[in-house]
Amino acid sequence: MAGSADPATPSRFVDVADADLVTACLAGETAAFDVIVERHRRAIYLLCYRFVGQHEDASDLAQDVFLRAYKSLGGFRGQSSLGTWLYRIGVNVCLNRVSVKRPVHEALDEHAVLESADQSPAERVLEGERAVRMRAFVSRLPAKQRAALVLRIYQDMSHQDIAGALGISVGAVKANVFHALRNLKRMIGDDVL
Amino acid sequence: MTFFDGGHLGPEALIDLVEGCSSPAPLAHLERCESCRRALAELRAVYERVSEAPAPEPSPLFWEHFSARVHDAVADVEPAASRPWRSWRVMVPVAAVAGLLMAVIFGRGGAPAPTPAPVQSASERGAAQVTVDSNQPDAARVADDEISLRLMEALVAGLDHEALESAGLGAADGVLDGALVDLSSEEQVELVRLLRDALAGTGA
Repeated sequence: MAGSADPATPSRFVDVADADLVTACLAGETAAFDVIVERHRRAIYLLCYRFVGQHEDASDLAQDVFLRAYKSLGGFRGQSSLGTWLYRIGVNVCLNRVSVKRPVHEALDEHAVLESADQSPAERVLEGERAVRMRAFVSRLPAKQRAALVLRIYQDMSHQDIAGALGISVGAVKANVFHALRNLKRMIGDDVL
Repeated sequence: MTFFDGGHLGPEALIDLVEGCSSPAPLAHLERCESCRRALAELRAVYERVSEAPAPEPSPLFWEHFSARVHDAVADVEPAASRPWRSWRVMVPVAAVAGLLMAVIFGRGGAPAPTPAPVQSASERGAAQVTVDSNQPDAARVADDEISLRLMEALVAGLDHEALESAGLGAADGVLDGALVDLSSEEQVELVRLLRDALAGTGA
């Protein structure tokens, strides 16, 4: 989850546990929040990206997640990890956004995908196109289905944690994943098998 | 959990099977049901295809800019816990208490004493403006105040402490005390002054 250390990151907070960073923030040590951002920014950005399927919006949403988290740091009780708490805020921010804004689909060449060394250029292009297409399909799913699918498949959260984050039952989480997969099957067509 | 839906495996059972964790009953059903095997195979294929779709990785430069943006965005913001007296969980009960106090004060004292209108000089408002006599209350404003106070009374009269608590709007024990303690010395002096003025106006 943690990214590479920024040169500007104050060294005294680098090895401090998340809960202690929160305490430091609440005591007025704003530099501690920079470390929190550095540790969790990638996971939160990718969560947002999976929801909206577009870099600019994902970047704005991720920033909003951290801003909201900072404003409500006093509400963090330490009952779950800081990462899970940030996820919850992230899911809420994303759900609010996707309910008012249709996703904008990325162009095929907007970003390079992760490349495998044993792939030919043609295979890489094909895989990139498939990935873009799949992200576009996912971004068209109804909000709850998308949330359940993204958190389960891409964020590897347990059904129980997803249920807590979305405020629904475990059974409803599985049902949402099921319907998300069925809808994706329809969108993809017969080429999946 | 209900495994079956209309004689076949339901969504929950199928998702458990897709993810490789299932109890014996659905597995036994799967052995003898071609339709469920086909449904499971389709779900697995989509699941795998979705799982394999990578997300683009932003550049290291993006992360530096992102951290700087967040840093700037929070620079003028205080974390909520450092000023609990401003949170809605505190302000709603405080507002309710203030409203109750005003309702009691003005309910006993009748209409409020007229507030002197501000004096504005001709130089401030232009030569054609008329200077307002501070001893003559503005009748329209007093009427507005009365309407506002009646509205406040009506709203306060409808407040039910238990209903507020059950709605999550109540203040936990000590919260109001904490809110008062968190007021700055100037804010505490101002609060005392306002309360004294209000009580003096009712003869209490």
